[in-house]
Amino acid sequence: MVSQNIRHEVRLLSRNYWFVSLSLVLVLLCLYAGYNGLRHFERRQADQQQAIAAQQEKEDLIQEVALNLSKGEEHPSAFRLSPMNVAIYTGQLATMPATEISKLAIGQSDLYTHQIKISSSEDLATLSFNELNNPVQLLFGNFDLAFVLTYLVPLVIIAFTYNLRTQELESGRLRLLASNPINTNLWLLQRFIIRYCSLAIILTFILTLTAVMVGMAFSLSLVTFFLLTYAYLAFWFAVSYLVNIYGYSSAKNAVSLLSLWILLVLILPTVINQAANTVYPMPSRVTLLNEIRQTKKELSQEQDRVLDEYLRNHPELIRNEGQNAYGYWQGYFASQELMEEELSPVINRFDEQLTKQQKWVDSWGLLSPAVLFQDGATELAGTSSKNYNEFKANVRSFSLDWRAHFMPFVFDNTMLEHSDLEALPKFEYRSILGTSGVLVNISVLLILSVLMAIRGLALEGKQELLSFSRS
Amino acid sequence: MLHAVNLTKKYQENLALDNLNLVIEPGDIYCLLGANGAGKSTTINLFLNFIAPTSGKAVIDQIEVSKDPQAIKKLIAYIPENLVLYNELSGLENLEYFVGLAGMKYQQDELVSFLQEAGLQSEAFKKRVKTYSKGMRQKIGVAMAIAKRAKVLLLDEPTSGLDPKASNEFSELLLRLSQQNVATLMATHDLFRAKETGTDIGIMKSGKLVEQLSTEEINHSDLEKLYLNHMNN
Amino acid sequence: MMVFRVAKKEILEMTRSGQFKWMLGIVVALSVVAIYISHVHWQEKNLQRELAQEDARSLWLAQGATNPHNAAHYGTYAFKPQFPLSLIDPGVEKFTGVSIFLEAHSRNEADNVAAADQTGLSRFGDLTPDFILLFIVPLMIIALGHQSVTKEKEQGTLRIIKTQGISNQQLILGKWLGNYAPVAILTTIIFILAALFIRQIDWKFVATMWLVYLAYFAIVNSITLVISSFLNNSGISLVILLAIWIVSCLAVPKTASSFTNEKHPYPTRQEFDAAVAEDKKKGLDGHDPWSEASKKLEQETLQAYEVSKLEDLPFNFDAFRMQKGEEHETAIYFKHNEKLKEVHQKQTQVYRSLAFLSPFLPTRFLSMSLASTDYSTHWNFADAAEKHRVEMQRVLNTNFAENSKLGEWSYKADASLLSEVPEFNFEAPDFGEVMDANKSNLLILTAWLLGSFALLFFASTRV
Repeated sequence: MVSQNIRHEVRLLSRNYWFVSLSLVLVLLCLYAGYNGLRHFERRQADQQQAIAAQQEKEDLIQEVALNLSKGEEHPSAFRLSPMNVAIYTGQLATMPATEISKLAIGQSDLYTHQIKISSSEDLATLSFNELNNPVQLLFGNFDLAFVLTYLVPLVIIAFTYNLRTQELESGRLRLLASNPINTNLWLLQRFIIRYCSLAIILTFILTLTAVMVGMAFSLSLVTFFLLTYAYLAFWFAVSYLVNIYGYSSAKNAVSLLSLWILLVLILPTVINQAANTVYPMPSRVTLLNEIRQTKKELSQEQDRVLDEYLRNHPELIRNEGQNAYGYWQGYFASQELMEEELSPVINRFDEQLTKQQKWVDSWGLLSPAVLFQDGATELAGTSSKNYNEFKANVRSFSLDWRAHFMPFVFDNTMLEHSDLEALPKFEYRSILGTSGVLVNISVLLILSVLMAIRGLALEGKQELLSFSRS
Repeated sequence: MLHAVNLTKKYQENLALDNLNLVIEPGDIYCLLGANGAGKSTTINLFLNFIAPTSGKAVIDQIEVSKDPQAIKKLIAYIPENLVLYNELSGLENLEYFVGLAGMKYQQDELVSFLQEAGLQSEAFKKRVKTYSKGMRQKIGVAMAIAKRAKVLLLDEPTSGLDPKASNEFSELLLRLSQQNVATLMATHDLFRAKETGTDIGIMKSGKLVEQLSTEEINHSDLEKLYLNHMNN
Repeated sequence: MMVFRVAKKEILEMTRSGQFKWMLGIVVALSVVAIYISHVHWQEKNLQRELAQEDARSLWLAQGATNPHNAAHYGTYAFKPQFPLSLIDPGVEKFTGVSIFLEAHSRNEADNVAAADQTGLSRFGDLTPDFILLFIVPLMIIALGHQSVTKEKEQGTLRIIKTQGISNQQLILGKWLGNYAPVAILTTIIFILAALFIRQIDWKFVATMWLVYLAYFAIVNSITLVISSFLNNSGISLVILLAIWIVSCLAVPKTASSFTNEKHPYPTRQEFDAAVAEDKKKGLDGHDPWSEASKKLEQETLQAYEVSKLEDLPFNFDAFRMQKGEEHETAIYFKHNEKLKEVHQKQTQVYRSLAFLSPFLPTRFLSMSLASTDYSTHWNFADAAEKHRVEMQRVLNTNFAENSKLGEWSYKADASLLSEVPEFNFEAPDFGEVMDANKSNLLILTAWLLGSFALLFFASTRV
C-alpha cells in the first residue's frame, strides 16, 4: 500500500497547479524573509563593530599613556590612568555577539541593544538595555523566516490537507476504497505522511537555499532549526489528519482548521501572555525610580556614616592614613556599592517576577505550537527573551566585579600602571542556555503529533464513519 | 455465496432493514427493486461492512462480514451509482492505484487487457478521467472487479443516468462476469434492466423484502404490475 | 424594500447557524475579557504614575534650602500621563518609555519600556480591545461572509433568486447589509462597554475612533463579498480571503516596517550618544573653567560689562558659565534629536505612502493617533519634557548667578526656589491637531472605502 500511495500522491501533487504555484510563492516569501534577516544581522554586526572600534580607541589611549609612563616618560594625559577615569570614563564595552541563526529569527533583537558601556557611574537599577528604535516597527514586528514558518506555513498545510479524506467521502470514492481490504485511516495516514514528506523536502530545499543566500555555514544549530521546523510541520499535519477523520464535510473541515489556526497561533499566545502579566504582575518601575532617589539621597546625606559602614565591611581597604583622609571619590564609590546592595532586593523583585512569568509561559506555551516553535527558534538564534535576560544578568554581575576591581586603587589613591591594565576584568557573554529547551519543544511537538495520529488510527471502525448513505 | 440471516438495521426508532433473509449463489445476478429509502442501499452497505447490523448477520463465502471485514473485502468488488475517480489521473493510472490498494500487482499490459475486457476504447486509456463520460467510468469499475478477481459484485444503481447503449454494454459485462461464477447483488430502479440481466428479483418496501422471484417466472408487464401493486399498498 | 428583505434573510440564516453562535460567543467573550483586563491594568498603571508624579514632586521640594546647581543635578522626573483611550488602543505605549529624568547637562531618553519587562510572547500581541478590533473582527466578517454568494451558487438557489426579479445590485447590497449589521452592532457594543470604563471621556475622539473602525469593517465586508461573488466555491473563497487577511494585517505591516527601517535607519543608542559626546567636547563645558571655550566666554563677558576681573561682574560668573554651558548643550541635544526626528518623520512618510497597500495600516495609525498612543504623541512628550528641563535649568542658574559671588559654591538658595520650578504637565494633542496630522490616513481610508464599494458594484454585475 505504501509504495502505491507514494506514486499516487506524487502524481496527484505534481498535477495540482495550486501546490506547484504555492510552493513557488513559498520560495519567494522565504527568500525575502531571509534577505530581511540578513540585513538585520549585518546592521547589528556593523553597529557592534563600530562600537567596539570606538571603545578600542579609548583603551588604546590609556595603553599609550601607560606605556609612556612605564618608560619613565611624561604624558600630558597622565590623569587618564586614575582609577576613576578608567572605571568611569574608559569603562568597558559589554557586547552580545550575533549568532548565524539570528538571520532566520530576529526575535527580540530589535528591542534590545547588543553593546552596552559598563561604567562605574551607572546605577544597575536604571541601566537601560533598550535600543533606539521606532516603536511602530516593534509593534508590527519583522518579516523574518520565523514569521513565515510560524504563521504562513501552517496555512499552506491546511490548504493542502483539509479535504484529503472528506473529498473522498463527498465524492463517494471513499466507499470504493473501503470496499478494498485496507484500513482506511491507515491509508489516510500514509497519504498525510507522504504529503508531509513532500512539503518537508520542499521546505528543506527552500530553507537550504535561503541559508546559502544569507551565507550561513552548516552547523548543529542549523540542523536543530530544521528539526524544529519538521516537528512544527508534523504537528499541523497531525491536527489536519484528526480533523479529517472527525469531519464529514470539506467546508466544515476548512472552517474548523482555520479556527484552530486562529486559536493556536493568534489568540492563545496573547491570552497566555496576558495571563502571565496578570498572575505575576511586574512591580511598578516608576515607583522604583523614586525608591532609588530616596535611597541615593539618604546615602548622600550621610556620606561619613556610609564610608564608615563600608570600611567596617571591607577592612582590607583601610589604609594607614586613617579614615578622615578619604575624600569625595572614596565616598562616591562606597555609596554606589552600598546602594547596589540596598537596592538589589528591589531589583531582584523584577527579575523574580520575570522568571516566574517565563516559567508560566514555558508551561502554558505547551498549549500552542506557535509558541513552542517561536520560542525554540529564537532560543536557537540567541534572540529569545531568555538570552537577553542572561545578557542583562551577565552585565549586572560584571558591573559589580568591575567596580570591585577598582576599589583597592580608589582607596589606595594610586594610579593604574601598565601591568594593571592587563589585569582588568574582561567582559564576555556566556550563555548557559543549551539547546535542551529547544529539544524539549521539538519532543513535545512530535509527541503531540504521534498522539494525534494514534488517536486517528484508533478511530478506525469505531464510528460508523461511512454511514452517509443517501437512501 | 451471499447470505443475509435475519439481517436488521435500526437507526434510533427508524427500522431501515427489517429481518432480511437472502441467499445468492455464484453465477446469480440478484436485483433488488424498491423505492428510495426501501433499504436497498442499506443492504449493500451491510454487506460492505460500511455500517454494522443491529441484529442478524451478513455472510459472504461463509465469513460473517462484521467479524472479518478485511477478509471479505478481498472477495468483493463494489460499483456505486456514480463512480468517482481521480480526475487528474488517467483511467489506467486509476485502475493501477485501486487495484494496488486491493493488494494485487499487475504489469501494464495486464492492466490494459482488463480495460479492454471491460470494453473501454483503447484511445481513452491514457486520457485523464475528467474527460470521461459516466459510462466510461463505470467500465473502469468493472475493470477493477475483473482485476481483483472478485467473487462477489455489489452494485448500487450502477446504470442510472447511463444512456441506453452504455446501459446495455454494462449489462453484457455483468452477464459475462456471472458466467465466470461471480455472485452479483444489484440495487436498481430499472425494472427492464432487472428483468433482462438478472436471474432473481427481490422487491423491497420499508426495509422488508416483500417479494422474491426468479426472472424466468415473469414477463416485463407483469413485473411492472407486481411492483406498482406493492408500492401502492 | 428588496434590499432589506435580503438582509433580513441573511441575518435570520446566520442567527440559526451554530457556527455563528459559537463565533459570536467567542468574540464577545474575548472582547469582554480584553476590556476588563485592560481596564484593570489601566487603573493600576494610572495610579502608579499619579503616585510617582506626586512622589517625584515632593522629593524635589523636600530638598529644602540647597545650592541651585545641586538641585539641578538632583533633578526630577517627567511622567507621561496615561490617556483615557489607551484603554481601547494602547498603540506603541508598550515600546516607548513612560518617564524621563530631567537633570543638569543632559537630555535623557524616555525610559522604562514595558516590553522589556515581558517575555518574548509579548511580541505575539496583547489581548486588548484594539487587537480584537483590528485582527479578530475582520476574521469574523470573513468567516460569516465568505460563502454568502458562493453557497447560493453551490445550492442552486441563486438561479431561483434571480428569476424573482431582484436586481444583482439589490441582492449584493442586501447581503452586504446582512453581513455588516451584526458586526456593526458588536463594534458599537465594544465601544459602549469600553466607554463605560473610561474616565474623562472625550466623545469626539471616541466617536471618531468608532467611525474609523466601522469604515475599516465596511471595507473588509465589501472585499469579502466581492470575492464571494467572483468565485463559485466556498472553500476557495475562504482560502483566498484568508490569504488577503494575512497579507493585509500581518505581512504588509511587517514588510512596511522592514522596508522603512532599511530605507531610513535609526542610529543605535551607542552611535547617538557618541555623536552627542563628540559635539559636547568641542563646546563649552559649564564645569570646566580652563577650556578654550570658557576662556573665550570669559573675555567676551568681561568686555561686555567693561570690567577687568570676574569678581567685578554683577553676578556669579560660575553660574553664568553654567547656564551658557547648559544652553550650548541644549543646542547640541536639540540638533541631534532634530536629526532623529527627521528620520522618524521620513519613516512616518514611508509608512503613510505604504498605507494604500492595506486598509489595516491607515486604521492602525488613526486608531493610535486618536488614542494619543502613537509615536508622534510620544515625541511631543519628549519635546515637552526637554522644554521643561531647559526652563528648570534657567530658573536655577539665574538664581545662582544673581544671588552669589564668584566661587561661592556653598551658596544655598531658599527652599521657595524649588517651587518656582513649575510642575511638569503634558497635554495630548487636541482633536483638530490629530485630524490635521492624519489627513493622509483619512484620505487613504476613504479611498479604500470608496474603492471597495466600486469593486462591489462591479462584482454585482458579474454574479
